[in-house]
Amino acid sequence: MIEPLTLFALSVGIGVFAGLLGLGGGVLIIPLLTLSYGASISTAVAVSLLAVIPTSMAASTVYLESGKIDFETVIPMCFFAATGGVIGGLIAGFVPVAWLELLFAVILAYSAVATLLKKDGNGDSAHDPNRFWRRLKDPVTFLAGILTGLVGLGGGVILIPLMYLGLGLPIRMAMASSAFIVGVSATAGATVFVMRGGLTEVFSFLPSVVTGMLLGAFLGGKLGVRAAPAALKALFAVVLVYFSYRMALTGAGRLGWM
Amino acid sequence: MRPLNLRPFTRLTRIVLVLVAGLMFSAGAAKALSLPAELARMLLLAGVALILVSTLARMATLGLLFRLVGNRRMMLFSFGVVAILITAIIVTRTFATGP
Repeated sequence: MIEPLTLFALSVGIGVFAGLLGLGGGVLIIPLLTLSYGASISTAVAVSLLAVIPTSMAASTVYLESGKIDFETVIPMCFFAATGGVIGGLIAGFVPVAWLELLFAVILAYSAVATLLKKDGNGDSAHDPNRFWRRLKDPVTFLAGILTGLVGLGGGVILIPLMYLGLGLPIRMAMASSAFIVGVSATAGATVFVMRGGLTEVFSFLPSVVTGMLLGAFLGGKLGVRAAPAALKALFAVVLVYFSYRMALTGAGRLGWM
Repeated sequence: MRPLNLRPFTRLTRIVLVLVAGLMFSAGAAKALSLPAELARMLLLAGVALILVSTLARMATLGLLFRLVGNRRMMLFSFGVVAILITAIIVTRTFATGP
């Protein structure tokens, strides 16, 4: 039985979290819908993708007005993330994603440690981009887009370390830029899901999740502009560890190791 | 290169957000008040369509804004996103089977 008000309240919390850290929120909304509300995984992914778009819009508008989004970095990344998102959505269900998840689990665990260990004062100053990562920026963004289209999550947690550790953006700017990009890659994935049809079950969750996450993301964006970068860094490292654990677990599960 | 005026973009985003929230809230209220199921479904369909079209509209607006300030590279990437999303719609409609 779906309790719309409870789902709305939980979605507000997830939206605050997503808006604050520049994530999509799929990692929380998908388990919530599948475990607590009995939704199928494809329904949860579709709801997550559709909810991420207005969430991203709400958070990125707040960041945009405070000048935290670097368009010269973001717009090309949007293009590659969208391309990856479309391809991911089209091949979803046809390709084994277990190895991709295990690869990203290792990358995310490394990123968590690197984020915590990076010495950059208060975390609010830009650094020279790493030449290696500057070259790999577009292929990595493309892969993150594919992962978003395939499993409905993973965009933000890959893009933020890429921008913060690899491209030298301040942590807050990396999160704000990620908030913008995840909306575009989610649109690509959601378009494929919606055009395939079968939205009846999606409709029972959508009103509560979208309105809740939209409101939460707006508040999260406001919080993110004011939050101390060191606190954002620490919170984000915790999220990365959780993502890494979850991806390793689902990847190992798919391969029959667990 | 002239500075980018983002006002039309943020204004468009805010209008879309208000409309999406309004449609979704109305759909939820229609269900809660046991109004005809077809009404709730139509409101939700309109909300979903608006969510998907909004990214196209926003990226196209950004492309036009970049064109106005003469940033050709960013303009091409912005319109590239629009082209990718339109391609996704056409490809999925043409080739995809049910879920």
